[in-house]
Amino acid sequence: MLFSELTFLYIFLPVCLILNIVFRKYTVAKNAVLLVMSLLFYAWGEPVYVLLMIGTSLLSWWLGLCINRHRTKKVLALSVVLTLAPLIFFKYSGFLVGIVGVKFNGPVMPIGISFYTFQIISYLVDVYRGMAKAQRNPFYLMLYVSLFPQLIAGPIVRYVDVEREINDRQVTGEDFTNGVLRFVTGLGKKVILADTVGGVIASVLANPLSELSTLGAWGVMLCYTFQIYFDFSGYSDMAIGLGKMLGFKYNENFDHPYISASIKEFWRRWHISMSSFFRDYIYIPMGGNRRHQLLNMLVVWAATGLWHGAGWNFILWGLYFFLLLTAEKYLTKKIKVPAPISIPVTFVLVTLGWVLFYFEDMGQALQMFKIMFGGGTGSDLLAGPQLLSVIPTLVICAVGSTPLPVRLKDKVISVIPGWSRVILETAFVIVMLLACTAMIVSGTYSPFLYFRF
Amino acid sequence: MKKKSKKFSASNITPLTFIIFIVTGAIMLFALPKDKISAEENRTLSKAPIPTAYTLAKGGYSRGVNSYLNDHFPFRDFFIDLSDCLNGLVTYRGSGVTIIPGGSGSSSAEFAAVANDIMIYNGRAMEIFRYDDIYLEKYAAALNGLQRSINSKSPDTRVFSMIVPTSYEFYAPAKYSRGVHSESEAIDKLNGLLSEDITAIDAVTPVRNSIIDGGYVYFRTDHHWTTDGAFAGYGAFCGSAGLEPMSSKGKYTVPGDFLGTMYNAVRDDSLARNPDYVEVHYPPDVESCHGYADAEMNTEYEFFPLMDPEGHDNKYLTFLGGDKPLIKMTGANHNGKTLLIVKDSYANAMSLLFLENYETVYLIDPRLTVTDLADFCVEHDVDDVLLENYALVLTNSGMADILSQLYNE
Repeated sequence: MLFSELTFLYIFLPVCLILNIVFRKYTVAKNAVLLVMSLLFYAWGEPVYVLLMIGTSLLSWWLGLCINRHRTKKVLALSVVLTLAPLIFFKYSGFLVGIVGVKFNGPVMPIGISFYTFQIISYLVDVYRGMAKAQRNPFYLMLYVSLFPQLIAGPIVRYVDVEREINDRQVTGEDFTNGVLRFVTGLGKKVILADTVGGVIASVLANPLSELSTLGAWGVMLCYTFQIYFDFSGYSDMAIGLGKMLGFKYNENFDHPYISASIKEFWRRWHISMSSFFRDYIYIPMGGNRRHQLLNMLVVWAATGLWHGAGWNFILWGLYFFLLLTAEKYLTKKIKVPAPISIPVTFVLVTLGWVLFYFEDMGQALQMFKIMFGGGTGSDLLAGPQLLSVIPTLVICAVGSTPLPVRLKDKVISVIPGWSRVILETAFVIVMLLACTAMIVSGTYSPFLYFRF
Repeated sequence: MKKKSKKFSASNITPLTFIIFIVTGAIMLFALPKDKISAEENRTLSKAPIPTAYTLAKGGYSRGVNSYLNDHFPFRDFFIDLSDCLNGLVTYRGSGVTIIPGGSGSSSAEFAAVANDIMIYNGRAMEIFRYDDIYLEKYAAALNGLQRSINSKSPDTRVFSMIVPTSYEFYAPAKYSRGVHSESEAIDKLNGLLSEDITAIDAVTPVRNSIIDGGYVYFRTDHHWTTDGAFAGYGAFCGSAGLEPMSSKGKYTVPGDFLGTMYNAVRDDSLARNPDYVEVHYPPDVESCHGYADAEMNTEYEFFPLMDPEGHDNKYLTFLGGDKPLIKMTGANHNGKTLLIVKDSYANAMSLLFLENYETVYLIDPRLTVTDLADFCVEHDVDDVLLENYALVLTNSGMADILSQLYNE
């Protein structure tokens, strides 16, 4: 199930919120309801793989207890390998077998497996490190793994961050209000902005790349740069908002990454839960900055790329950032670049990176690079009018990806009295719900040329 | 002990509003009556799925529920109108060429949702044509296979192919109708791939001449040709088949404005401001007209071939009341000749005209029924077979796949 589906918004969510309110005073009942709802949420899209998730949760519960009892590196390593095994099988087996030249499509990947596998690893490592207590109740650990707000698209929530809330949580009116506001904002980012721009990208790139001019190619990649941000951060906003409504406080996952003045800063602002996972569970344990830093960075960025998808383009995308970060590390010691230059330069470098991310076919990626760097001979016959049509959306995206809207909102809220604020926020929620529902419903509008009454 | 009274806090208003909004949506979703069809979308709306062990395990049930809720969401038309307004706010439609990305609908001919990109230009909406040699070859192979199959059992039956150009060929800016976007180029290439035993009919030239003469040949808001376009197409067939075409007996106009499929797909105001209208060339005398549920001629019913579309938004239904699996028409020219048209909806507007030259005309819509055409020709003593489709069938393999089911080799 997706947050941007009517089934979620108008069936699943009201039922879930009402049950959560009804059982608000009883933690055990509240957790039972949330666990059942989360499993239903997952089973709606993955009716069979929900069993895999349940099995993995139970295994990790047992492994957590083992680690707590023995606390040896061997047990931890074995636990991590066992946890990673389903991910490797379902996500990477096709790719790995393909490397040795055997054609094998591999099994269908269960949705969200990358996210929940990393969550489990963080739990096991934190138990080993003594940062978290091993969860004695298997259902509570299953609840942590399957919590529906972050199950499909993150953020990667660490057990230590929600340990207390699983055992005892309260939702205040203010929490719920903030959650609702955050949820509808994220929904709007996804269905109004990201999907509008995404429709144009899909249409333009359905035609041969050779039809694009250099300007057209940059236009398409600019669209994709904003689409991926508003799609992904919109989803994180919705997850954080839902978490607040249910009593969980998730850490931020995005912090206006496109205003970054360096690649290093970009990765402090983009998919924060993932980059901090790699930092805390791979980079630092490998030696971090203290020994063979370059090798550590290389491993982390190759893994980052691979985590995003089983394909060479994703590995190259990770290595591209390894190269940029390495270059930046040495160059910035010698050259200080002012922000008016470094921000757009960083933005362009990130945009170029999305070419590797988007095109799984390396031939197409190279062709796109060639076109972007002056090799475009196309006339943008079909792309031109479509890219022009989304200029207003891109302007909204550009402004929306800076902190300006948040600052403006804070400013307005600070100067208006309490009731006016409530009215304003309520009106915002209604408008966003109407607008998002309209966009979702219109996405299902499918006129037929032939009469099929 | 006195119970402590709880004060209603202002901070509860926003969450309450949110919950009331989504709960109300949920209640209305279940409580309000459901439509069965969507006239604007030309399709039946999804039915409530029935869970089975198989659909539950494979995800078919959840997908079915999703599409049921999508199709029956309360005030769906209001929300679609609202999304048009929103799209107007976040996108820009200039006065020149506007291209609307196609939907995610299927591109197969059988369930042909509007999946192609649509161009709006000079107050006219057109599906963007883009052919591929692979699809030309597939379509040609299907037609050649059909011809071989028909002539193996019915050697004297003549086989004709007509690809009807769309308005895109004539009304898109010149640079958009060249090369892979040129329908006439694609049709010429296709005709070069057809067997010598298939007579390729050139519908492009008479339609172009009709446009040059100032005719109202294509609708601006619908993907079909008008009665004038159909008349030109009929003339082209007669020219190729060595028949004398009928002279026009004049036209009548169907009452009411017409906003067709292209408008429904893009819902652009500039189209709505200048709606189409439907005219009909008076046909030759019709003696009988029967529809059938399939090509085996089960479930016969009689109908009037030019219906009064009052109450229907889709005025193109005037012609034969829309697509049907099989239609049999007989006319006043008792020459004993029989024509079989294997067709899409473009043929609906010209089919009655053929009664000038044939005593019996059969129309088979291969998207709605499957049969062995060679056997059909033998059984019904068919003299001529016209394989008609509009040009967009050359942009995908849908129709070629369907036609391939009509013969066995």
